Amino acid sequence: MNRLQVALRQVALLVVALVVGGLFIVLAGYNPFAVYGELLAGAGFNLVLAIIPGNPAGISTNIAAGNLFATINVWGPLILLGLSAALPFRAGLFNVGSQGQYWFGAILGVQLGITIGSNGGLLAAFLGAIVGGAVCGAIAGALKALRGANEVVTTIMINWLVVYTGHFLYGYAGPFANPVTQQPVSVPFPEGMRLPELLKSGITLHAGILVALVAVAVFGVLMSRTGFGFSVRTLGSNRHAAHYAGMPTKRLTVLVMGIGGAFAGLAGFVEITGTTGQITGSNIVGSSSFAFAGIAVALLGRNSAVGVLLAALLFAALQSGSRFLSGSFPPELASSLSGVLQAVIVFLIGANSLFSYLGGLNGIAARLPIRKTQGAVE
Amino acid sequence: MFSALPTVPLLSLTGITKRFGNLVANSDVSLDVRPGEIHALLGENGAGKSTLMNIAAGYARADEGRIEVRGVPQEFRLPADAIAAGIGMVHQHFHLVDRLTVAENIVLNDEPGSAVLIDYKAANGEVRDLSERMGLPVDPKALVADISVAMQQRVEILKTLYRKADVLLLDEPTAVLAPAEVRDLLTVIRSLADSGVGIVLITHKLDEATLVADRLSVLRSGEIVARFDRGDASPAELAQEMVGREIHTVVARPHAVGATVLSVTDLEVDDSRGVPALRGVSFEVGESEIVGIAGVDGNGQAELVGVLAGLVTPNSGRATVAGEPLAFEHPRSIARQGVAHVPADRRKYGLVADFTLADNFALRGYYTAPFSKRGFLQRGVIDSLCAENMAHYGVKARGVDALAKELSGGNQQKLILAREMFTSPRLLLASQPTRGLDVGSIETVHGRLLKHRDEGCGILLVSFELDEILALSTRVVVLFEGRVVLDRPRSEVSREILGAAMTGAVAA
Repeated sequence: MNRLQVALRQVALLVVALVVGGLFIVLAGYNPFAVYGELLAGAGFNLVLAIIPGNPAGISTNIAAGNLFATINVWGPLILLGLSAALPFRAGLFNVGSQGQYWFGAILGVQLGITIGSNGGLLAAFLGAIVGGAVCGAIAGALKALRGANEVVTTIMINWLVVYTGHFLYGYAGPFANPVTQQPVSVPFPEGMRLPELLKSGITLHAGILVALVAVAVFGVLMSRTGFGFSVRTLGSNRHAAHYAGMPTKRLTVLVMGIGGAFAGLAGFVEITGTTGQITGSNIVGSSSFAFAGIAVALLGRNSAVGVLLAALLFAALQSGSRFLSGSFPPELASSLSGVLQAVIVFLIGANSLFSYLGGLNGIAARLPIRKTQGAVE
Repeated sequence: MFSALPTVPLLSLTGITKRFGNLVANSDVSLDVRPGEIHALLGENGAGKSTLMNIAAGYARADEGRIEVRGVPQEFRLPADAIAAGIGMVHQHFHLVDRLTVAENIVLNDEPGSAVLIDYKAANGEVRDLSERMGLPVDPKALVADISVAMQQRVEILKTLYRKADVLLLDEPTAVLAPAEVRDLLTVIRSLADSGVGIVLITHKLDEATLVADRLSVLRSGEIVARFDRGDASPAELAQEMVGREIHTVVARPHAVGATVLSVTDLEVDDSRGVPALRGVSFEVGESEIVGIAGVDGNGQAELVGVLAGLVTPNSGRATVAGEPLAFEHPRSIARQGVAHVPADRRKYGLVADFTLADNFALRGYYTAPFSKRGFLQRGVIDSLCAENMAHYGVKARGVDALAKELSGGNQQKLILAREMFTSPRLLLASQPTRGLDVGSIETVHGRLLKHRDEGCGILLVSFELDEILALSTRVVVLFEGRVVLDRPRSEVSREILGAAMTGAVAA
């Protein structure tokens, strides 16, 4: 199958997911077209309509731009989380540890940044987040390479370690909790040290998306142009051949999990230093969807740089757009709707793999115990 | 024999045509098999033999043509339909459950007993009776994982007989067997035929076909190009029909042996289960020398090559390449010492099936010049080097960006050989270099090995084909139960001596 066919199939998956999601909306008693329209508008995508001369749809450019900024602010971390799953996938490894890597990176980065202060604090936070995420990932990689421990199990275990350690650190009277306000959150990351603002229209667009775009570019070049990417792809396609060819398979396993973890750590850095500036203990515990959003992005994007970019934009739009649903859909169900759509997409990707495994329509037809009567008489 | 009477064929295929996209795998092919007959179907890889048999066994459906069993038209939608009609197929790659016993595998999906409980006692008894009656002794209670490949093949045959098959389709049944096992199998096939079963024997081994078959049909590019009765065609004529041109059997001219390239001393290795596989093996390979390692599969050959290629850890012993200690366990360092390796399992180790030919060509050297500069792959250089070497080694493909899995076995092997010889190594480990290849590709690979030998490369040739060992080797080493039981110049061994040594009957 060539690239165009693969892309078309992913788009077809998406269309089916939207139809299935539409059925859910109908079941709930609402109009799917209105809901999807409002989702798009909520994500700020209606800004394109405002460009039409005379603005016939009567779009408020300010509101639309603000909504788009909100979507892009979510897009950046989702790209990075997508990469944290996509790179290991390319090496045949399953990183379910984005959640732990995200938070360990965020914690190390934020605490380091606050400690160092205005002179280089943001850079320190950036590097700290990379190191924190990388360490979390590399530990799972090393356990796999040296002891053969399944990375799915170890990354999940590390998630829980980080999550509850974080909950303790930033909990009530926790060692890193804000000593002044006595609240279970970190000391705020100083205003002057936050990620730079790019644009503002009610909502501020921060520089996180630039970090993510650079990361995607690095990932793309790494995978397609370098010897490292070549060895990663070999490991993922045929690990016996990688060993035979003399590739350092163990070192690669550690490196790939480490770099994957670094991407997740960067996502934590972007989110904290770009938006709230604070780590909240309860957020850490309630963040399990992060890792799975990353996996869904990587799967839908087929682990390619461009694919991750587009898939992350879709999931960002779903998340961001659903916050603004009002008349056409009850707001309290909105986040569930984006969850349902994500779930349907992941399910369809799985079903699609099963479909190919069974040999497509012809293969499935051949397995059905149906007999044509006409042939036997011939 | 039944041939005196006009018998209705057990199975007859008429005008079978099967297309895969633009490729015509079978074009108007007709074939039949009568009771008591062995019908050999010959052809190169990719000639369409397996496709035809898959159609006859219900694994695939023909686009055109008729299938008749005992004169009754059939339409097979599923393998189960073919089994019900009395057609049993034994695939080249077995379809057995490792974790079940022999008897369980044989009765699978057709178990004696009630709907809920399987009557294991009856199953074991039935299998024992069947195997004794058919002259195919097996232990019904042994786990399939624990028995030899030849035994597993028996289980496959018994599986079809248990389902009352009277037509047996055997796909390359001798490809996985040692010479003695091949003889046993051919005897069994003959006696099955004499009891009234019709057998279609797919093979590209011409001597076996001429030895045992009553009729022979040659398939080339999806069409039947020749049919012979027993004794009407020599192996050479058959080979010519298969390939469509004359075949030159490679004859190794002697060449002076130079300085020692590889020296192995007291090598001891365990296999993957921890059982000793090599028990103190020593031998040498010189420049411009081909040392043939003969032996029945499972006597330590795989472990020997594995250790020398850096893939298997030795317990003790030494090996040197050009006087320098071999970097055990480090495939890349070993490659840098000038050792190339054509692995026995080319699809598992030698190639990445989903990669392009260019990427597969760069598989070994991707990290260094000329394939890469400062960590960045030099795509242009890789593509042109790959194209150049493909032309040089006669790899037929639509281009360097074709995928490795699109190539035939012969072309895959030529690509691997081209890659391995690219760095002009001083030693080549060639493990089963022609296994599963068609006659034309074998000719090319043999020619190449001899050319590299003449240019000074030392070659360690591991093969289960005695003919190959005898045709190419300068020296012959026989491994038996992990020990060298024979190590002599080619001129001092014969097929008989090797055959005896391979069964451990001769001491070194």
